[in-house]
Formats: sequence, C-alpha cells, structure tokens
Amino acid sequence: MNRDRETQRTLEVNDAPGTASLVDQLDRVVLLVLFDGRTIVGILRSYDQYGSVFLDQCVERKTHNTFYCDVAVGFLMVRAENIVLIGELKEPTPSNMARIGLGALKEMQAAEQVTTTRATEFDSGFWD
Amino acid sequence: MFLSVFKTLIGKVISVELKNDMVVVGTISSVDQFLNFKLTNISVDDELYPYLADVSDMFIRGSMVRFISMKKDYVDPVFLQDAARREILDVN
Repeated sequence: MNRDRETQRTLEVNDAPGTASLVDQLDRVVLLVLFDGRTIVGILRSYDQYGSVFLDQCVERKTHNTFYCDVAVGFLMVRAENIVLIGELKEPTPSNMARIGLGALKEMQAAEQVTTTRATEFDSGFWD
Repeated sequence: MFLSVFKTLIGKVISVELKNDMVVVGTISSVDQFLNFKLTNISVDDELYPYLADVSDMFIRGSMVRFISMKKDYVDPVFLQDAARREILDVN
C-alpha cells in the first residue's frame, strides 16, 4: 500500500510539466523530425506544455542514404504541431554517415528517381 | 483512461507507427495526458532512417501516433471492457 502511494507520487512528479518530461533533454543536443520529413539538430533550450521547443545553434540535416549535409539555420522556435519526434543525440555528428557538401547532396538527390510513399503493413508474427 | 492503461505499460516494449509511416519499437519510459511517449532503447529501420541510428531515447508527440501495437498479454481485454463501461456509468 505504502509502496503504491510512493509509485503514484513519482508518476505525478514526472508528469508535472504536462509534456512527458522533456526536462531530461534540456541543454542536450536533440534531433527533431518534422512532419514534412525535415530533420533539425540543435540544443534544446526550452519547451512548453504542447511540446513546442526553442532550439539553439540549429542545423537542418539534409540526408540522402548515408550522406548528410548540415545547413546552419540559427536559433529556432518550432511549433509543436510540426514535430513528429524528438530524439536525444550523444554527439551532434552522426557516427554512421558521411558528410558531404550541399551541392553534391543535391546532385545525388536529383540523380535518384523519387520513389512513391511506402505503405506499411502490419506484421502479424511480430510478437511471436 | 487510456493514460492509466499506458502507465501500466511503462517498462514494456511497444511498437509505434507514426503518421509519417515511420515505425519505432522501444521501451516506454513515460507517458502524459496527451499520450505523448518517451521511449528508450528504440530501434527503427536503419536503412530508411540512418540519421536515427545514434538516437536511443526519444520523445514522440501523441498527435503523430497512428497505431500502437503491443503484446497481447500486456493488457487484459476483459478489464478494459469493464473499465469502459464503468467510465460511461460515471458520466451518467
């Protein structure tokens, strides 16, 4: 009984900001995936109850397969409705991708035929 | 009500499909009243999203979630049914 009450209190404290505790990510490097598919990397400075964020030293991370190019975009406020997810990064640069220039990246993107959107399917055996 | 269901799932592995067709599998570490999730130990398709390879903890906005799939024994369907009925009785 006592333990239950303690668990309950812990849950309430963790939920206090309204947004599933982004407080752990404050002043850390985060990667935002936006609804239009763009990815933004920056330092999380602030957030509100809807999940809008202020990001410092932002770059837009343009990617093509395992190549990326960071374009500096400065200090950004991103409105909550555009944010799909916020991932925490340990390093601002990806370990598994090669950095190239913006021109080279755009050439690569232009060279590859744009494929149509992938329809996802339920995998019925997933949990087996 | 769904919030309390997901609170009981904290520490369990779920699979979340987002409205941009991305599928994320991870362990729930917290959830709030908007059904925003924080997942740890996440895994995604590395070929489709190579830029997420270094991400292990993530925050997913509730409004961007399409489905959440979980193991059948994580929730008790009979209990859920009863809870839904109780909720209606409480409202009236």
